[in-house]
Amino acid sequence: MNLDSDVAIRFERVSKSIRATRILDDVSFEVPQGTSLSIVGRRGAGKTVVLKLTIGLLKPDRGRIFLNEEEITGLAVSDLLRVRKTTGFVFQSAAVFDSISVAENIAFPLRYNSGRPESEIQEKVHQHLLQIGLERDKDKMPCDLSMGMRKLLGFARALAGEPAILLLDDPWNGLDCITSANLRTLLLDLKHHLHTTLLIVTGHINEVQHISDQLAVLDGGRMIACGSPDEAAASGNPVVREFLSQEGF
Amino acid sequence: MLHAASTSIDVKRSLEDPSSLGRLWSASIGLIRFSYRTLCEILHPPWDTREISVQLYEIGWRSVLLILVAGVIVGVVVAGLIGASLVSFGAIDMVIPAELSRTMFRQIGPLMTGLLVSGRVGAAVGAELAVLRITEQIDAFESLAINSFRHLVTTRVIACIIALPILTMLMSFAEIAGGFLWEAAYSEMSLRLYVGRAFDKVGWADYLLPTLMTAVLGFVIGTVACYFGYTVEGNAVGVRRAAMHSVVVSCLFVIAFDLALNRMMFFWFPGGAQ
Repeated sequence: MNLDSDVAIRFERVSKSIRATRILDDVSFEVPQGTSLSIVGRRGAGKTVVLKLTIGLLKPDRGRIFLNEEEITGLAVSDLLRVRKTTGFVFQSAAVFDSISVAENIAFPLRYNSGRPESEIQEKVHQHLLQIGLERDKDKMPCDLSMGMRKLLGFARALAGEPAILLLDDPWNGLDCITSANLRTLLLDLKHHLHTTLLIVTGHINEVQHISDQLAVLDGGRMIACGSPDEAAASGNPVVREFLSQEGF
Repeated sequence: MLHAASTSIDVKRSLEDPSSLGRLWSASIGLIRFSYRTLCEILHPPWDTREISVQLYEIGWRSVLLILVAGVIVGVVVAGLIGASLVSFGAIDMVIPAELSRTMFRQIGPLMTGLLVSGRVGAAVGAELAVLRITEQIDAFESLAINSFRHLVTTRVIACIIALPILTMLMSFAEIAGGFLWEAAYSEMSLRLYVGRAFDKVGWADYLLPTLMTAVLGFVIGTVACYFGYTVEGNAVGVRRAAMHSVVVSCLFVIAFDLALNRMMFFWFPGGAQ
């Protein structure tokens, strides 16, 4: 895998069906290193499927997917695991491990993948807990947290491995406005200071307009617009215009 | 000819029908592939020993009380049945402990342990993995570059393989203890005499081979439970089905494998069948 490549994520004419329903149809886009692409669309448009395809959790029916110029479409499990060490994934449902504590959720991937000493892992866990404001809840179980807090925990867990590419599935869903603003600041910080590549999918364009270098609109499995936010705003596509006007973009 | 053609079409239709034979077929193929993958992963160390020890505690240690209580009850019941039939054929009470221990070690101990663990562990593991799947926690493992199959499936199956022979041994001894309770109540036989009689005619092949055989049952129970949980689709209904199918299929497989392995064992080691 070439971590110095210019393009972090590339989809080439990707199609995907699930149980005879076409979810994605001939989708192509690319995300340069250190930039952010936000994909917006209505519920069921196939946004989450794009993210799962990106790290090989789903296989495309047609087309090719590249991560840092390495094609992941036909990779074996062991190679996929290697590729995923450079990525982080924030799930829409948080998907935190509910049988271990908050702190253990963050420590878990570090113990498995980093090979660091326990003292260093504990230090890193403490830093991430401070970053998301959950240091007082470190011994709680995830079921004792609100949905928003679990979302933050999922975010911290994804960041623990210091990913070069961060995939976020509707990260603001369930968060209050102050936490949402903090998360936006954190994402901008990641992009500007650590040059993390961001691929965000959301149903609300307002949340991503200040973060995104590129904006794409997904509708009925097809990418009907993809470009800079200004280009998206100037699109003549009626669905894109309706989407942007509804969101007051 | 026409009949053959229409039958062929019917079979084809049922294979395509996701609600009947086709689903059974795809589940069978899926289970075979899953078992093969599990076997390959088990044969490739290193294993996640920490998770295996956690699962050994959950699957093995937490089943001990159930196994002991069930063993004693089964021992009392079977001793009563064996005693009644032997006495009716004119046998003296003294042969009951020997027959009881051979029956327990060879047949009832392994089978009862397999069925009890299928019920307890099959449902628990099936439901647990199904919940992990539908709440995207298995995807989360994968996204963190952790091989979810090795972490969740291999560890549970290895724990079942280790736990089953140990639980079977406990079950067999608990059954013999149950047999003593019955014997003591009806014939006032002393414990010392009972133990002497019980183990007098029991050879290594009588209890070592059937007990080790249950490692295969452990593989079957663990693999079936993990298969239905790990591959579940849907929601709460999927979890319910995964738990139910885990128990039903693993119980059926335990009975079938117990029968087949017993036949094979006494074919290969005829000394144990005497």
